Amino acid sequence: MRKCSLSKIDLLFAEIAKTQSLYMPIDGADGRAVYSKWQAGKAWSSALNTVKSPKNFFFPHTEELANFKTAGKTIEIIDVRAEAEDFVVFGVRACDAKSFDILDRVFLTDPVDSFYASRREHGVIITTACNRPTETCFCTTFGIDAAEPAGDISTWKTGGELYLKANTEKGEALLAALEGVTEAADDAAVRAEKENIRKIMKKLPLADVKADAFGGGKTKQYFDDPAWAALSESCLGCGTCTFVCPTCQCYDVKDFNTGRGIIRFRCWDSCMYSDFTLMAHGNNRNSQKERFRQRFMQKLVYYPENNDGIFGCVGCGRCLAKCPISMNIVKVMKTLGGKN
Amino acid sequence: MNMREETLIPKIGVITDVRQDTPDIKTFRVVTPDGKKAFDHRPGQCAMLSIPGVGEAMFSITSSPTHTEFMEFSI
Repeated sequence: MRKCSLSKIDLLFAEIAKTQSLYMPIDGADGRAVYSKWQAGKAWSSALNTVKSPKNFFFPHTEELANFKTAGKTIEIIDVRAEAEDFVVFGVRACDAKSFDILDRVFLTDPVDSFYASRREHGVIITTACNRPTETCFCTTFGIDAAEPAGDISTWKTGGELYLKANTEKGEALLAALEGVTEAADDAAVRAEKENIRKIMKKLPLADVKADAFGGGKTKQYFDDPAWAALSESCLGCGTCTFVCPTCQCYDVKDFNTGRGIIRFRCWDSCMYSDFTLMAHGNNRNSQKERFRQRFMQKLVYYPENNDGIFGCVGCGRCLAKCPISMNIVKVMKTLGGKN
Repeated sequence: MNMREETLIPKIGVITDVRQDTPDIKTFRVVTPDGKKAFDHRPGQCAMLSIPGVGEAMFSITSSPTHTEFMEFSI
């Protein structure tokens, strides 16, 4: 274990930033934390989490896939891929760190998505334990420990120090490079802080939310539940949930003619939209109820069924905070699962 | 960069025949630029077909897999 005094943390950040881009939650003009590029003078936000998840680092809003040039009846396909540059994402919470595992299972299984893979290979993730989890947090529901976040390096803020522990080869390499700005440390303070965090997690209002009633093999049990009608009644189909969610990963592929050539790109899409996966015969989900149901069945039943029981939700609480009509996955779980 | 195989980047196909099967269905015969069948397929499988500038969409491969020289799409 290593440590760095919080009063000297800028030296740590500067050392990392010497050789690669460093990103972390930084307060924007509106006071809300946003993942931004660190520069001297910028302060690491003390907010519990960012409004949008860090999935953008590996799965950006828009991504150029290829270019086309056409001349008469011939087409030229131009591969525009470039190796990603090394970068570090600092201050990731346990929930968001878990979301990368969930996205990996989608993008890194055969056929591998080379765009995502390149970013994942070049990104180093430094997580931070949550000193003050809040009332919208429920990562423990899905087996995530806010006190022990995953990542290449895990960190803990306590007693005026930042403690750092490497978990992977990438993490060890980075921590070794930071020897000049860190000192050796024992883990006593970290163990005490973990205890504190776990005590807080147990007392949170959502601590009793259980996922036991859900998982693979439960499609028949929940698909025709009459409760979906009431649950989805107010849903606007705005897509905010899919936008802020760390695990949502649907995208659309589109072409854009610049006048000098054609760009094929992908961009985030939302299953909450009425034209999502529109097909020649129409759509397979024609009501908001069906779209709403699909999203939650995906996270609570279909994803675990296809992924060794791992749920498609990490309990980050962003949907609780952001849905304009106050619907969220906890309400869905309590309404449906309570009938067991 | 990275010459990793990438399924999101399409390959070029050459239309060697267009057959008007019904007033609103045409069948397109497609091969690779060097005249071969693009890939082996099984009945019921589909392919993403692209027109640059328009986009891509999924279409059933309507020819039999037993044809080893070409692939057809009835659209």
